[in-house]
Formats: sequence, structure tokens, C-alpha cells
Amino acid sequence: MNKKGEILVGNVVFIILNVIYLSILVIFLYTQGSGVKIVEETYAKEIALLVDYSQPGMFFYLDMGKAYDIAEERNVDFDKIVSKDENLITVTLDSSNNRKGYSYSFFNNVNVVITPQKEKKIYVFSIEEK
Amino acid sequence: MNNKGTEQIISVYWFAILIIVAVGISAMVFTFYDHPYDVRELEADILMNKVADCISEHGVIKKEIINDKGEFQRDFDMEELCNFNFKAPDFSSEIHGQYYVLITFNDPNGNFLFDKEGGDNYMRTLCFAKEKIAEGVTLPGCAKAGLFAVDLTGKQYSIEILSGVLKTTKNVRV
Amino acid sequence: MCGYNFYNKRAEIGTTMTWVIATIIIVIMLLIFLLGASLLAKLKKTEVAGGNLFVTSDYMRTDKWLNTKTAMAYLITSNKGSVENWAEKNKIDLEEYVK
Repeated sequence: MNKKGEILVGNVVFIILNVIYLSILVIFLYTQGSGVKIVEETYAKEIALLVDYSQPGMFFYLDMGKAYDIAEERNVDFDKIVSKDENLITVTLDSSNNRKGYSYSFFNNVNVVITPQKEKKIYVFSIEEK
Repeated sequence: MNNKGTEQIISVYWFAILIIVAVGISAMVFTFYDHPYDVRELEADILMNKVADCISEHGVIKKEIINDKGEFQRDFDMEELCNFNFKAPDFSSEIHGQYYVLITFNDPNGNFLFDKEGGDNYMRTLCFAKEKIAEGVTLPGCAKAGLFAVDLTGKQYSIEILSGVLKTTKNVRV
Repeated sequence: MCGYNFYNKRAEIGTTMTWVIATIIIVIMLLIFLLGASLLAKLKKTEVAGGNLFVTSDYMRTDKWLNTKTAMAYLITSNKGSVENWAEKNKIDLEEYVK
């Protein structure tokens, strides 16, 4: 009696397709976590709150490594990631289709000097009196 | 026996299940990541801190608030004195202001003397309601704390600061 | 022989019903997980835990900062009794700030 098993091509193809499907799902989940919108929101709020907390004469720096990677993928200049208009902080990581990034306002009436340092992938924020 | 027909029906079902699962997972991801981070309580806390800094310098109430005769200067401009800018350009289309501050001056036994509001007092009731109701995402982020201070005449005050930050559209998925 | 065919068709119906029930269970589970994801999303809230913000310096904690101001008032005022009563009522240990 021949009990030798044989690999069924149909089953193998089925398993491979399932693995591909699961991989696509996992990659999709992973990329959503580092989505442009979320990173922009996180940075904008973090900077605005830090400015609110600061006093004139203080300075702080923020590691923008994650933003640097996303901006580079989307051809956004590192120097243009963070901008300020009056008391509004805007973080832009994707300027395609005239996207304006994410903005968040702060209530501290101070002047914020923003200095990008591309080599170190950081932004330095100096707080001055208005 | 020819079972081919049955296997093809099951394959169709299998792909239908895969599609349902994929749609379900996508819906979960979008639901989770579509919610913004709610930083209003933190912001209200920082605002309260700043107000405290503004009122009391080394334990003494500023003369712009209570002068050297012990008189409360009701009309002092909180934004100017405390260096605040309550204009929120990212919420310019909203009806209400996005910040609120209430400073209540009581005597050392807690009896009310006078108070001063800044920002949009629409949030006053909401912040008090929040204390009772506790939940309610569309309610503002509020913070409350107290401190003790003296004026230039040496009179003592127990001061309560209530601060509120609205900014609902950027902190809550409505 | 004819009677045998009439009575033994259960296996075919069973297979179909299995898939229908499985589909319903999968859909219900997905809806439960969707609800869970929605509830988790509502937890994306920065808590102000014990007045501790994101600064490393201990004295910059919100609750301690206000208590420091109270302590300064306590040091300069002549009537320390009322400050002590107030601090006791508000569960503030002035000794921590004035020693």
C-alpha cells in the first residue's frame, strides 16, 4: 500500500496567499501608526504646550527624528517642518495637494524663536519677551 | 466522488471572510487613529500654574490686583498683566473663546470676598458641571487649585484658581 | 434503497450551516473589537498625574509650585495660624516647603 503523502499544489498556493494577505494587513497596521497626521498632531501639541509652560529666557530643544524621516520621504524641507504665526504653531510633514499641516495655538504671550538644526535632527526653541 | 464543486463554494466563502476581516480591521484602525490626543486638562493645568505665577510673587499679591491700600482693582486686564494671548487663530470660526480663568479671593476662613474672570465665561458653568458629572468629552478641560497669599497691607487671602480650555474640535472626535 | 437516500442528507446541510454560523460569529467578534478600539481611542488623553507635567525638576510640579507660593506667604505673614489651618484643611504639609 502506498501511503506516501504528496504536497497538494492547491493547498500550498492557498497557504501562500493567506500569508501574503496577513503580511499586507500587518504592514498596513504598522504604517498607520506612523502616519503623517498623527505625527504632525503630536509634535504641534507638544511644542505648543512647552511654549505655554516656558518663561522668557528659557530655551528647549525637541528631537525631530521621526518628523525628519517622514518629511524626507515626502520631499519637505527640514527647515520648513515647524513654523509659527503669532501664537500658532504649525507642523507640516506633507505639503502635497497644498496641505497645511497641523496647527495648535498657545496662550503664552511670548516670542518664540525657532531654530532648526538639520544635522542633529532637532529644533531649538528660544522663548523671548514680546 | 467529485467534490470539486463544494471546494469552490467554500473558497468563495473564505475570500468573503477575508474581506470582512480586512474591512473590520481597517475600521478599527481608522477608529483608533482618527481620535486626536486630548491635551486640554494638561493645558488647563499649565494655565492655572501661570495664573498663580501672575497673582502671587513670592507670596505677595501684585499691586495691580490689590493695591497698597488693600483695594481690589476690579478692572485690571488679566491678559495684559499675566502676559496671555487668549486669541486662538485655529478656532477663529468658533463662537466661544477657548480659554477661561476664574480667580476667587476668599478670606482665610473661606468666605468669598471678590473674584475676577478672564477669557470666555461660557466655560464657567461647564467646568462646575464637570466637577459633578465627571464625564463628558465635549466639556472643556478644567483645572482647579488653591493657594494662600498676602497683599501689600499684610492682609491674608485664600485664593482659588479655576482654569478651562475648550478646543473641542482638536482634542475630541465629535 | 430508496428510503436510504430520503433520510441521509444531513451532512450537506451541516456544512453550509457551519459557514453561516462562523460568518455571524466572526462579524460579531469584529464588532466587539471595533467597540474596544473606539473605547481605547477615548483613552488617548494626557493625564495630569499628581500634578506632574513633563518637566524633570520636582519643584516645577503643578501642585508643588502652588504650595511653594503658599509657603512663601506663610514665611512673610505674621499671622501664621490661619495659614496653618488652611494648609491642614487642604492637606498640604508646609514643613516640606519651609524647612
